Amino acid sequence: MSAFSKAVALIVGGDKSLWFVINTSLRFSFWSTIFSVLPGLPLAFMLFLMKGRLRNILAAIVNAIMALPTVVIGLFVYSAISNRGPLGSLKLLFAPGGVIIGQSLLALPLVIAMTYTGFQKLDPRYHETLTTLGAGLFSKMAAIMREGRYVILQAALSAFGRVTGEVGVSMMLGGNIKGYTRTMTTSVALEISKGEFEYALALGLILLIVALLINVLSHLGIRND
Amino acid sequence: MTDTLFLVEELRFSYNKSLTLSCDSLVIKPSLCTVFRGPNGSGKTTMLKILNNLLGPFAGRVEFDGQAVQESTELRRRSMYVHQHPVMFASTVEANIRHAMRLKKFSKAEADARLASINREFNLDALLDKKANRLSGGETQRVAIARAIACGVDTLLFDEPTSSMDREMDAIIKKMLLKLKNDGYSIIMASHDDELIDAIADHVVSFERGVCKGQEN
Repeated sequence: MSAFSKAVALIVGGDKSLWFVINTSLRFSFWSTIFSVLPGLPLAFMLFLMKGRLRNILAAIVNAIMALPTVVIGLFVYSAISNRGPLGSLKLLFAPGGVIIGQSLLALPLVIAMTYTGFQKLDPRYHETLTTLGAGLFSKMAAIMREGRYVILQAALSAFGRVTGEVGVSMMLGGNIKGYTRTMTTSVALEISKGEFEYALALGLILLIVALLINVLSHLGIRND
Repeated sequence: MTDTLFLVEELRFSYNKSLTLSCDSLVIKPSLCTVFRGPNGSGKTTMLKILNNLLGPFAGRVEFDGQAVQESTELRRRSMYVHQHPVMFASTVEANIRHAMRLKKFSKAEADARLASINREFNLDALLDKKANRLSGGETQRVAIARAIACGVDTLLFDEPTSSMDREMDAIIKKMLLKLKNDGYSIIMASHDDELIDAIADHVVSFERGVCKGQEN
């Protein structure tokens, strides 16, 4: 039996530990996406409303943060939530909370950058119409987000894809603890080092399917936009 | 209310560091129709947007009813700018009009009454349930005007309201504008349409290469 067939058998056969890792990974990604989108949308909107040089500087900073390696973000969060850090008492290190915080921060600049760019591409007359209608800040935000809902969907999907596929943050902040903080990517790294190629390949296939699904949904979003 | 609706003094507006519009002095009276006339790119739309505080910052002074437009609490309540090609939100015509009235803080009962009145006045029955962002140019203009009136404004700023319309729709919009003028609305409008200008204008202000040239009756 080839490695590929064994990997498929593990998936289809419902291997308990495999599906537990998949479930943990997707659960972390879901909450990280939620916690990056919630602050990301208003921040993107504020950036969209800004004018002049400050906006360009902030947009450049967001883009620069987006390029930071995951281990750097992991390191910053590690120093904040480790026992000696300011949030040490919350006991978030090597726990799901720590991974979710790290992944949320990893996805946040991506959500801001994608949403901000998408809002900028909206017809400027929307903003002017809302202004002349006398819309307040929150009404404007609600209306612009409604018009840019597919942009938001794409940003959220990209954030989900980014955090599902990252390994640095999960490894540093989660510790790859079996049955607790082990995600698909940290598990792949571990299983490869153990020589369990089929198990790693099975998780790799699931990651591939997740990536494909995200792409299909994104394209559907673009088509509806 | 003062006897001057808009007052412009020593206005200088630059875009991308180049002077786009200058106007030494302009007075617009209430309940009259003032038309901005001039070739494309002469500054008519820029002036309309500055009057409605949609563009800035600028040097000089622009007042609405005695208050600087940037600080005026009345400007948003009493005036509305209607684009050359107005945008509608992705919902029905009725939802668009109701949304605008909600933004103006009308109660549900008040909004119902206003919608019924606007519907009677502008004969919108056939349009109310249609998707607003899929209307023709003329229908969109009609709905945008109705939406502005539903919001209870008394000052309307139109940018080329009859441009690129078929004959039938052109006649409908002209009739609407004439009615608004006769009902005492203050209308400030950018237009090339000589027929419309002859029919409706009390004052014509000429624009040329970003300079407001002055007013004629």
